[in-house]
Amino acid sequence: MIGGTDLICPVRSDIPISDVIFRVVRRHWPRYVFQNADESGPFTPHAGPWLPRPSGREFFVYRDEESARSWEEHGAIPEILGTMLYVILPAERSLLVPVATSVTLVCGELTGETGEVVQEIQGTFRDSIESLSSCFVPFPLEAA
Amino acid sequence: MSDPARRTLLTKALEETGSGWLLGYWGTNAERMLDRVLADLDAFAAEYERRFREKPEPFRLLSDDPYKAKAFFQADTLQLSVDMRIMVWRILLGCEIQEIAFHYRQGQEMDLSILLRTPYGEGEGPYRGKQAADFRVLRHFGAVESNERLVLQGYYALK
Repeated sequence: MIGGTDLICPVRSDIPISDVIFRVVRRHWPRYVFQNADESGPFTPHAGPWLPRPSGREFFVYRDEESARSWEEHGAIPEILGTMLYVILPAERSLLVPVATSVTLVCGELTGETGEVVQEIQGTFRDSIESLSSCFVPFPLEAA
Repeated sequence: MSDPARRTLLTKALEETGSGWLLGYWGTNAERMLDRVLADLDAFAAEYERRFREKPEPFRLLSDDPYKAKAFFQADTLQLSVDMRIMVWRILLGCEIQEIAFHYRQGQEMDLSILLRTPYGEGEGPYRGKQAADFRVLRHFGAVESNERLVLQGYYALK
């Protein structure tokens, strides 16, 4: 049980959603760690600075390793609510035909740094939706 | 790998990433255009390997991350200069956009210069765009407002 706030965020189906999330998180939480939701056993932080690739639809992003260990030990206590983001990616995503789908973000209160992180993720998602209407621009690759 | 096999691979990549329409657009020139795109990809891979001592594998991206592959195999990216394409690949890997300088004046050569930052905090670049097609990278950057400032991040597919 996480509690906190559930947000349904519209996003375009053909963009790398986790890439967007990790880039925003990385700016705010440079020592962030990541965990697939289906991982059990001892917590293993993402190794290396390059962007991680979740293995499934659900994953957690923690502000730092200390926060992750607190979550593992204590669960959702008020002191650490704002140090974790739980992400649920869409069940079905269309790569070839971009449509609007949605991502679920679960976090503590939408205040402070967590609020900024979520707001920026939503902003980038919104930008992707708006570019659905981007028009075709002629280009110089040779036609028949 | 033989030329026909490579053409088949590229055709499949274009079709799987939503750029299959290019084949119809090229029509009877398709084989020649596929060869040109393949030659450009080879030039990109060779220069990338020379600079970073690792070989980029765009076709492997199709299985590793098809959403990033879609951006890489779109017409905009296929037309980029080697320098700009390397810049795109570095962003797809995880680099951040640190600085962009763009100068345009009608009738003159445009000037585009992009600095990146690796996740290790090191600066990279400048990557320079001189040819007209290089302008197109600007349409693929994600935009977000942070503390009332614009942040450009990521390289994403157009519709």
